[in-house]
Amino acid sequence: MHEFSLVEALFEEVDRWTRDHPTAVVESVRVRVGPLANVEPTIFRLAFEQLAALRTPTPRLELEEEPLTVACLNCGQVTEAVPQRLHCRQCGATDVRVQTGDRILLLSLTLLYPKSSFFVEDTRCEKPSP
Amino acid sequence: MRETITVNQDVLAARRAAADRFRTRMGDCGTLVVQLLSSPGAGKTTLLEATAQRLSQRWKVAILVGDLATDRDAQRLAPYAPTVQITTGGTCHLELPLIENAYAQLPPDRYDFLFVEDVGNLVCPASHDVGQHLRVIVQSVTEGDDKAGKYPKAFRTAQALVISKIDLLPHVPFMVDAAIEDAQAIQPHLEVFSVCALDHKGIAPWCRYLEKQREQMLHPVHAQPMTSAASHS
Repeated sequence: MHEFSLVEALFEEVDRWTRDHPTAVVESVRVRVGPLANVEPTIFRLAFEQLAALRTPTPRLELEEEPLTVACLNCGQVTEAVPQRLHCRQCGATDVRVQTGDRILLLSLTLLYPKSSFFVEDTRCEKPSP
Repeated sequence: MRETITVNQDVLAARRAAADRFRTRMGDCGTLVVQLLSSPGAGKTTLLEATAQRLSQRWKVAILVGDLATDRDAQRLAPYAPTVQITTGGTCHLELPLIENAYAQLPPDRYDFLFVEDVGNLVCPASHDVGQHLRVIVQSVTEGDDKAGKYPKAFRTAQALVISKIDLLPHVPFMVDAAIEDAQAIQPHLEVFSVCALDHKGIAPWCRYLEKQREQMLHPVHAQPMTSAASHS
């Protein structure tokens, strides 16, 4: 159940990015995980829901899959791989660097600014008609 | 108003940076941090008993050992090296703050080797960089030769594999070559050692490897750069 710890790390990152937006609330969090990230999506969602419930409003999780790709240190090609056999599909070399698919990537955050939208609406109402 | 901020940030990057700072601090003190990962019962503690017994004849060794409950492992290891038990109370892996707290409880000294025995689990600890220089998988012959394919993250992020309990090979259907081939299909640079820690068979080359790794950490001119085990896969 290390997904709870990983989701805690996700919210630490979310808070870092929203520090400069004090009036904003997080509406949704877009995350991409790969097969070598050691994340079970169902448990990750469950952990997210439980930790997100402590926030108002409750942010939504958009979870995407990232393909596992390796960059070959022999021929330079980037090809898809499976976790059990990390090799270059072009030349067969096993000396490869994992390019994608081994991480939990925070792609983007959607923020809502409830106070400022209220302020804009209110100002518009008070504007005298020309 | 609604705004979407593009981030594209690895969620564990900040924690990895903290682990890098700990790794550098330990390296600057001349301490090689070795993390041991395995399934429960693979023989991590027995391997550490034999390893600490041998290394402590020449080097200063300290051990941090993680378990869900009890301090039994610390009691076993204490005769060979200063040991601090980390009791996680149900958490399935160790994380850097636990390591830093436990390290602070060791008798103040300049250690040459700091061993971190993680909680017996090949899944969760693999995702967490605890500031180790070396990640070592211990795989016993009693658990089957197909472990690597089942736990690719742990094997991919490791630098060495210790095949343990080899005295039982005549009694179990474990193919050493198949296990190594499976592991090296995931991590081709894996160094492999076969040991029976109970009678110290294979402990000498394993300890020489650790000494060489520490030497390369101290004098990295002709050596492979020491990198974060968990971050560079």
